[in-house]
Amino acid sequence: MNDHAQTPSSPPVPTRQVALIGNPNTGKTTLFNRLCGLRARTANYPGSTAEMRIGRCDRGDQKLEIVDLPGIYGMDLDLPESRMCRDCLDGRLEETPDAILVVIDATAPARGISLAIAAIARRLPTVIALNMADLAARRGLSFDEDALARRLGVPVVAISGRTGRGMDSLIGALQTAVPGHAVLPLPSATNRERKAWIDEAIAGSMGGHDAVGSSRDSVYDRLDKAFTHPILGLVVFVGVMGVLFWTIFSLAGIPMDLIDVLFEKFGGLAAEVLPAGSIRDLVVDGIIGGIAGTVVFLPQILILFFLLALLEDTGYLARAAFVMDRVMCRFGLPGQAFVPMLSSHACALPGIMSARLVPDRDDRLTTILVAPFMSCTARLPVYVLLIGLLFDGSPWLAGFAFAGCYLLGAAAALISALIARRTILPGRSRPMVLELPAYRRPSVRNAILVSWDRGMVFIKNAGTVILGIVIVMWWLSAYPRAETPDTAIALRADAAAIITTDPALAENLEDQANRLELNAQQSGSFAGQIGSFAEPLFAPLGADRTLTVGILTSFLAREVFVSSLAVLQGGGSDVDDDESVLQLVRDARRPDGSPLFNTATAASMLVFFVLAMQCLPTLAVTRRETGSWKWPALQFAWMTGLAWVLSALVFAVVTASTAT
Amino acid sequence: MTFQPPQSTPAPPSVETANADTLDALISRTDQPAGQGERRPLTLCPSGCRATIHTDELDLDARQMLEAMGVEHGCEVEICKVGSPCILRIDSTRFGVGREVAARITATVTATLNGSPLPG
Repeated sequence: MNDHAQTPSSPPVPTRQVALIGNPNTGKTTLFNRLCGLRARTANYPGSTAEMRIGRCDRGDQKLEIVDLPGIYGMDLDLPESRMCRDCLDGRLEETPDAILVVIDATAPARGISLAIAAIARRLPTVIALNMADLAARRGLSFDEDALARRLGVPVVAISGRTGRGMDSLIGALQTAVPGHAVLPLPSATNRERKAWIDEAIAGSMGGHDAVGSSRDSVYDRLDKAFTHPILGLVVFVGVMGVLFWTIFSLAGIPMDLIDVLFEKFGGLAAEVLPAGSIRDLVVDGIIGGIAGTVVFLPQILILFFLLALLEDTGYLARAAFVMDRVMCRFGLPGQAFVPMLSSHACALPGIMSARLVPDRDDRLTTILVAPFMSCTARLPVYVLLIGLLFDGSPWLAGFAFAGCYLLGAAAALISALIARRTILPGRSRPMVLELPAYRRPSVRNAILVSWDRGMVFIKNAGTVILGIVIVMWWLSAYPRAETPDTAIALRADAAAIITTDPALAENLEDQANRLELNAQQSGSFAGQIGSFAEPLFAPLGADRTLTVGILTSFLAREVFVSSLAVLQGGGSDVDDDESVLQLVRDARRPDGSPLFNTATAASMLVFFVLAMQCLPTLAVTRRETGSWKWPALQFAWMTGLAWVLSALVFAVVTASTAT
Repeated sequence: MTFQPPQSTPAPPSVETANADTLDALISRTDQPAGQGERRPLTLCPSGCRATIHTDELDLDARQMLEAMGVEHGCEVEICKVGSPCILRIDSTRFGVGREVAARITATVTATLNGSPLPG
């Protein structure tokens, strides 16, 4: 683990590895970001799916590698994060760290000192950082760091992770720290004895304790009462989340469009440069298209995590967790699960990634499993198409059907969570006890670093899997190459003949030829052949071969369903013009002359698209977040199985009711 | 940072909307209201009172977690809000306790706001 870096021009400078520990809400991550900035990466703990951030902090000759361990309340608790800290400090994960940095909240030091005692007892060089010293000073608290250092037998440095105060002293102390030598309460000491020792240490080194409280606390009391009130708290929560998602929707669209245009141009450029053939198709449609399909998710992820980091920093999220806990606990989910569930309405990818807000592993896994049930934006074009077919000319009914789709998705998510908690992830949820952090102004710098980190994790891990999937899906739909249909050749010949006399008609004929060619390619490709093979599987849902191909291609992404149908019916792949696609699909016929969509088929397809797991990138992110293919496989099987059963039921019921 | 030695007779922490200056006037420890000294569920304590809490009826996991957070059996807390969640304060740190856990914590009220009698 220890990295003894060498350069040819300088003598070897040992890099000290420092384990960063502290209670939650002590500003540990802010301090880590202050020390390491962008020189940090996220890695998995060996043998587990939990993440740790490792960063480098180099100041001149002083080189530190800092490992940010999860926030813990106690070293000896039977919780995964406590076990992880114990394992790391005892060298059971890799090598024992060279030093421990314990972060203590200077405004409430007692708990932090208790953790520090447990850390110092490990006989490793230890340094105590009294964080938020500036906030403590504003509250009238004062410290004698030397007195506390003498008491604990290790260096104590007053710092502010937010402003950067005390960083040089802290780094210096970490370089020179040695194991503590003071007489501390023994591990066998009772809680009362330990508390008495800590109270004495605080009394001898801190002043102004009585200034804490007063008018600030009365404001906090009122805010807490409002934010956790059963009705007012819910109103505030809906408002905050509304603003959050409105911001994501309105801001993310711009860079997403820009990414689309940029990659389109880039693809066009590559198509011009490369000679026609398989390599060009692979580069343009497979690789560039695949990268575009991955990077396009990035704006939503970055904005969501930036806003969530700001919100978490204000202290509001802990209160909001209690508001939603009243609802969520009935379904075996904690209050924190609401943010991932709500985020999934924009896109399941950032939704699943934000499930890390849920502290308990089983709660988190349950949240990840069910979050994709929430109707994401990719489902909207399909909803528009199918609801348009079902309730054409009845805007009220169409509106209710839209709301019904969202409700069906949410209900399926909650009921599935309940089933998961009673079957595959049994056991009680972690007791809902949270520290309510002080309200404070959020740090924009910290939020930027957090969102950058999440973006990089997405690109490096999930992004590579998504790229691979996109390339495979492209290959399945592009090969084997189909012969150009004779009608398309004839249309092109006609177009060439009239290009000078009637260019508009020539262009129209050329478009028709292209559509026919696309249709032939899609039908003859491996994906098309699989569609033919899978037709009996989807027949109980009322799907014929065309619809089956549409369903299968939509496993790449749901919105592909609409363009696939348009293409298969001889229309263009451009789905911007909803009306023309709707008309095209409405007029579409099966080989026997019956409509492609009757009421029963449209209803069953709608239910299928609300519930089915048809997003391979989501499965890739689930794999990334759970550390195993078992969970995405289960997610796929459960969601798609449920969708199939309910769709078949809907098809049977609607068919029977319309026949009578 | 200048070190200010601790005061020899610390004033009690603030309660509800009271500030430190008015606390002595608001909190009565000598005039014990009726019912004070009895253990009662945390959820039945009045907001704004100070109480000694008892976590011995909780299961081990919840008790250990509360202890690690500093909410120990027998410690004195200020009950800022009763309901779901119960909000407790120890020194300047606030804790939200969900209804299920709060229902299994009992408390002995040691001081009420303005010495008002306890409900029930």
